[in-house]
Amino acid sequence: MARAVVEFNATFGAFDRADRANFEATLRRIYSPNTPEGAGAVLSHVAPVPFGAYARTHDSFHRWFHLIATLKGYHDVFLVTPQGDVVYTAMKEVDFAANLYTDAWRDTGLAKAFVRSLRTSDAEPDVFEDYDFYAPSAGKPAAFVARRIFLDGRVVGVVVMQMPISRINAIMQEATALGTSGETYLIGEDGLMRSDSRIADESTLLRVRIDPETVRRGQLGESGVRESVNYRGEPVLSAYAPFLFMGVRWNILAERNLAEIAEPIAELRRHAIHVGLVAGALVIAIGFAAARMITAPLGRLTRQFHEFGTTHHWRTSELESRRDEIGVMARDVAEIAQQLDATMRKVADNEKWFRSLMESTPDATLILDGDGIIYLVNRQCELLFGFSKQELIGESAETLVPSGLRALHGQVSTESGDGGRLVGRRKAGDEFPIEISFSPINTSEGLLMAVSIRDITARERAERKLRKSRREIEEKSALLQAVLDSMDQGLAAFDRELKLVAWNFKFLEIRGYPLELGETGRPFADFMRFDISRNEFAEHGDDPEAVFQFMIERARKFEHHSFERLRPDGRYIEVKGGPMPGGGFVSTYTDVTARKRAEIGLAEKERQLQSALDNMSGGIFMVDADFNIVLANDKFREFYDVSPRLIVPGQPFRRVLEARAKRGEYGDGDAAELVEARVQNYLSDPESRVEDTVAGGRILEVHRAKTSDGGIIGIVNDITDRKAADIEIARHNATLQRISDQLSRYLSPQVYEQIIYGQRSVELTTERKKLTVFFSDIKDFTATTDDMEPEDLTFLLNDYLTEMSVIALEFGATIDKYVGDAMLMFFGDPETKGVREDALTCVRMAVAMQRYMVALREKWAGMGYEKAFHMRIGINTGYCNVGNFGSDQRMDYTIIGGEVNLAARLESAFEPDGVMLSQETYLLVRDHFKAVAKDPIHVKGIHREITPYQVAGIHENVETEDRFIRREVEGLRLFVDMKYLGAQDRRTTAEQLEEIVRRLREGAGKSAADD
Amino acid sequence: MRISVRLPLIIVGCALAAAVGVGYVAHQQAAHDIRDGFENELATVRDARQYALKRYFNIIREDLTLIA
Repeated sequence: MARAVVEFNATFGAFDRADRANFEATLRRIYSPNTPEGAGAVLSHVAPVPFGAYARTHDSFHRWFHLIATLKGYHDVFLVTPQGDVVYTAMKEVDFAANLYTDAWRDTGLAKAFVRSLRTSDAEPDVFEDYDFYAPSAGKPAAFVARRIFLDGRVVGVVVMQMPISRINAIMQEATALGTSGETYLIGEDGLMRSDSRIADESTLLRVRIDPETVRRGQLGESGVRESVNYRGEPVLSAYAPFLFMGVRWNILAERNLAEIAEPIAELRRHAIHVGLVAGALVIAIGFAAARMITAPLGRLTRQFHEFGTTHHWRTSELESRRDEIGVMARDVAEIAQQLDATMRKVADNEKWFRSLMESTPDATLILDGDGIIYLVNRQCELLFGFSKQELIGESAETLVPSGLRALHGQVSTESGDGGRLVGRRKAGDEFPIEISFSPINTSEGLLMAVSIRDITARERAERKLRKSRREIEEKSALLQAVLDSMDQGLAAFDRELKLVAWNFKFLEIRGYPLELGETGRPFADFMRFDISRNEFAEHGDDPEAVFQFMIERARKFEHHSFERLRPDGRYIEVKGGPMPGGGFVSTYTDVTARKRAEIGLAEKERQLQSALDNMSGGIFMVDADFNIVLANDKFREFYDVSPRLIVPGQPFRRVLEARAKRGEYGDGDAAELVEARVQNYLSDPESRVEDTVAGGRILEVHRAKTSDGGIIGIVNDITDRKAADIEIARHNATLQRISDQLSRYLSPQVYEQIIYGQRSVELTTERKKLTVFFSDIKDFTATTDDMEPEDLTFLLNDYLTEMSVIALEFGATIDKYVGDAMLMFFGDPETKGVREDALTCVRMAVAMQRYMVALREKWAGMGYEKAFHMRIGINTGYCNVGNFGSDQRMDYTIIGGEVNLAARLESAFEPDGVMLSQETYLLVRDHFKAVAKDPIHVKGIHREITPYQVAGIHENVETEDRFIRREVEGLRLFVDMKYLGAQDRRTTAEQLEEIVRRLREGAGKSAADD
Repeated sequence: MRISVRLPLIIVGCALAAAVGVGYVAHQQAAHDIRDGFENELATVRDARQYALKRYFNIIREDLTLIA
């Protein structure tokens, strides 16, 4: 082979490489497989020069290679030089004379096998290039195997054989043991088939992809059998295993459709069913036959026994002669039937006896089964409920007893007992009270219940009536007891046997009995013995037994009795009573202790009252609404000197009046009329105070008053001596009043009143107070009055002082003293309204005085006094000593201090008709009065400089005041003081002024005419 | 139910139940065996193909040796 390669290479390479393309084309044309001799069959003699050398080499080796290829089944055999020249192919396809490095086939399987072969090692010299579509072979799938060719240890070429798929298909498409659907094929590492399916119509090689899971397992070297889906989408059972060859990893698969595999199983199943059906039919037939062998004689025996139940006659059969168990059973049943027959006869007898017993009971009787269903009833039951036996048997017991019996039955099913009162219902539907009793009956058929029912309508009616009567009695008894317990009196009634039948707690309380004795039926003797044991009846003797007998005997007389008794404990009880119808007695006991003590107390008080009345210094009498005497004391009798016979309670008081009338104490006249007039005087004027002169000239004062019951009570006092004393006192009082009036003129009214009414003590005491001091005098008094007659001076001065005093008293000033024409007054003691208000009042008073001085001067001028007084006023406020100064025998209520001097200095230092205020006073009144500050002055005894203030506008707005009307012009001086003008004077003044006005107007008109 | 009915039913029922049970188990076992048979058969075929291929490729290798 190495030689062939060398020669081919030598001849092939002898050609000019530049003409290589032409050479190759020529070779392909010469060795075209389409030549009539067949592929590669061209012999050297037909080869054109210069291809002769190659042709000869080709002729030398071609037959052998062609034979190898044909015999071994290869598609082609290639000799390739290491340079890639395909110097020989057996089939002379288009890959012949090509270069595998450069020509178009350089990417084919052939080129890959060649290249890989050159790279192989000596350990693995063979190369297998897997199937792929090979274009030079008309695109048919082809695999290649290659091996290097050595000559003298040198690679001289590569032999490549092209493997057709037919041989592999022949192996893989063998259908033995694969049925109709089974097939085997190869799979490459890419999952594509490496052999054709024997079933598919078209080639599956390199076209069909197989289940990747199977491929994956094969790649992992696993082999096994699994179910999968084949390339046709059919479920198959697939046996897989890897196949390794020359470095190629294939999988080999043997598959068969599951449907085909399942076919024999399905066939097996069908066969088994067929066999089973046949066998089942046989089993059924045999089973029935075997069962009948047992059930048939049993059925006959049953029918025979049933017949016995109907006819009560046992009919012998051939079964009893059998020797098997059926025969034994039949014989035993025959014996049992005969015994049962005898027992049933006995039962029938018992039932007759039982039924007759049921029918003979007076009560309705039921037999119930365990479910409360009526099993048996008697005739009385039919009569009582109105149902027939046929209607009741088989029905629930609740048909007769609508409620309760079922529950009752369940509760007491194992015990006899009394079901108590229930309600039964008749067929007609009406219900009635019943009483039932029951008794369980243990039978072989279960627990039965015998129930006896009795109609208790009549009994209940009687019981109701009895209960009603008892209730009424109890209510009446309770009522009676309530009445007894509510009584203030104790009550006890004893029957003819002298046993306690009725009583109340008051009885025990009043009689002082323990509660144990308070029980109905207690003998009277027990009470008596208890009383005697505590010495209750000591007045009846010392022998207890004799006293006891006496008390019992007295009680047995059942007489009316009424008495009061003092018990040993000091309480009084009143006992009243009398006999009771049918014997016995009843007594009431009343605790009259309070009443008795009140009576005693009253009697004592009456005695004490009478004693008090008799010892009174005055007389007293009382008459009732009928003018009868209720009481009169001894003094009354003494005053009026009437007989004690006439002064008796209940006697007419008129008799006393008649006695006095007869003595002439009512004056002359008819005594009866005088008495009647006196009586009428009493009745018409029951509340009055009258003086009554009695015989002897004594004067009695009678105070009469009306009593609540329409009577009259009179208190009589002898006032003869008092009357004389009153006259004396009145005389003294008149004297004192006169003296007092005279004294009051020498004192300030405030001081006077406080002394008179005891508010101020007449003793030498002073106190320091802040006062507002008023000081005034008449400017140039001496010069003004020097040439006056003393009488005129006295009149003017007194008139001045009187008017000023009136004003001062109106404002509440305390007038200290008059010193000639000077006046000293102050505010702040003994009464004060406060320092500021006192100062304000003082200034108002001063202004009023100055204003009034104008009127006074007018009045005095009208009286002919030409030299009028002009008043100077000074006011100061400060602390002064005020009180009584002097001695115990002669004292003067006045004030002293520097502040007084300041007031005097203020008025004397300035012009008249004004009001001068100290700074202290001004500061207190500046909100109400305007004042003008004057030049400061110095006052003796006061170190500080004094700034006086003169009140401004004293006479302003005088005209607006109601009291004064003042006009003054040349030729006219008008002054009217409304205070002194009465109504008549005002009318006269108005007429005079109107006359003046008329004349003034006339004068004015005349003057105008003159002008 | 009467014994004449109940007894045949019991006998027949038990027999049928036993037959059905045995039949079912036998069927299951047979089906399994058939399946195993198929699997073994397929594995055998797979192995036979594997052997044939190996043999074929060994021949190729021998051919290469022969030619080269």
